[in-house]
Amino acid sequence: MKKSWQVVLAGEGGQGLILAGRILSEAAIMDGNNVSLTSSYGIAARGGYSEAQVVISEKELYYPRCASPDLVLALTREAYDRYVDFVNNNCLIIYDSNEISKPKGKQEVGYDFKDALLTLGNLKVINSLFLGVVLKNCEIVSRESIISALKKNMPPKILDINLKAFNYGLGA
Amino acid sequence: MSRPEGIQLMEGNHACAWGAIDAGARIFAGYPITPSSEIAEVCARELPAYGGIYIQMEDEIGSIAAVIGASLSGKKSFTATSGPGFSLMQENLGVGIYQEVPCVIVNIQRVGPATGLATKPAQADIMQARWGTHGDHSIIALAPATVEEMYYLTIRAFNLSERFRIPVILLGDQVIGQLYENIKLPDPESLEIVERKKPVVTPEEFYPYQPDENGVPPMAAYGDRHIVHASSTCHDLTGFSNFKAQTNRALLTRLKDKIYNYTDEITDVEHFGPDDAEVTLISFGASSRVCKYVVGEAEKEGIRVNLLRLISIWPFPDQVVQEALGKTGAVVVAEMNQGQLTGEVNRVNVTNTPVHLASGIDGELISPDIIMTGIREAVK
Repeated sequence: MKKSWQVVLAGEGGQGLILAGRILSEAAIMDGNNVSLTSSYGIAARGGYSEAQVVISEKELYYPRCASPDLVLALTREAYDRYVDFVNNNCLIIYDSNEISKPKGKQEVGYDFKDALLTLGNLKVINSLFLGVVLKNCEIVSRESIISALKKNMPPKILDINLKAFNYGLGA
Repeated sequence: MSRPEGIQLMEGNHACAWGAIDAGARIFAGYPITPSSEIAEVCARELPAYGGIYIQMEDEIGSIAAVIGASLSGKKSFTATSGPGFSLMQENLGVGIYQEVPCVIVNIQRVGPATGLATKPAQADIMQARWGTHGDHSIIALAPATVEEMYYLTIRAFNLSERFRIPVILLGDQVIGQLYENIKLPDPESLEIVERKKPVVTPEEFYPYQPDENGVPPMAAYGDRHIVHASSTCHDLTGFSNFKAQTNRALLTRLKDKIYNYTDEITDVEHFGPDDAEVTLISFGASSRVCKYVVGEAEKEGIRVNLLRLISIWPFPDQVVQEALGKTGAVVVAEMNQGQLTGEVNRVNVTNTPVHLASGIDGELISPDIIMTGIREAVK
């Protein structure tokens, strides 16, 4: 497992990006790391650009933002455009293939989130789904820790569908 | 939810609220405002279980008035706000300073002026914290840079306010207030908590504004046998209005001396990086974290850089900053405003050391690039 990670979860308000950032951060703490989680959002409750940035390290963290992301999840065109020219060539971009039709050919993985959500039958579980997709591509935290963090953060009545979405994203 | 145990992912604002509770604060009066609202949220949820009260006031003018009243009644009290609310509090902040009311005002700074960028960070209330309320006065302000410091500096803010009988400003910013980090809250029993000095003389011998040897009057609470009299006009030892020239001079002098004679005790700074450096960064709060990162980046370019981080901003640590200016080739002040702290650094710059400003006013955490540009300019 890599010693430190800079992860950007970017999209729009209402997609649960910041909650997903919390879940990822709590999992990283369970794995024994230091974590900083910052978020950026507008004044609207739904829509508008929104992102969570998670920095994970065994060392003390000074700069709490992602100076050089290792992974960017881009759920909207705006999110993709913000990062595609900013990141270096070692960064993996996971994008929603419904939103981005012509990727620029860096290290990029497209994922059809819409199709997966329709299969799952619940559009609200997008954050658990993308956490699975992220973890499938990068072993940022242990699977056990993410599941514990999901259990801690999700209300009991929606836990099962979120675990299902996470596992679906993971391909498990 | 009860007090978090063990290592936790915690937001800075939550850590502040828990710091206040652990410091003994039992009254929160406020008017929620982004990016400080989580402090109000935690207080609303948790204070009743500690025998405390959360009051949502009609606005920030009422909020600080309630905080002052609660403190005069003997309870540790506080409020939390951001720029627009801090502006509304200024008049009564002066009342709190003048009546010598211990309390804490948390200002999680966002971009202004006016409504500005409501959800975005700035550090542009430095001078408002110092001089926002009218008249000659002293103030204490502390600037946390981590979630852990949001907890511990809140406790220190209460301790200083009780020790010196003065409102203390916790000058946070959106980045630190809404930053999540891992933290383990200590056993509350292990904390050093300061309580205000109560009268030691009989009620008949007691004057509410008779200072002790530190210039701070022992304080009775409303409802005690000792009298409480708080006036917002010039007052003598009795607390009643008195308009004589010597009374005004004595009061203003004492209110200044009780803080400025203890600047060394209040001053809190961190030195980071090598002892000797070509360039010294001076910063505070969220910006100072970026500076720590930049110290390493500059080293890669072969530039020796260190950092003086101001943990207490007011009273300004003149002597410490003067020493830093005298020991370095150039100074870069990194701050998320247009140079408010830089002005203070220049004020004490008796060595005429070149001082550059790295100003981050993009509504984002100041970028490492802005600070690196300042450093490169400084070593030209």
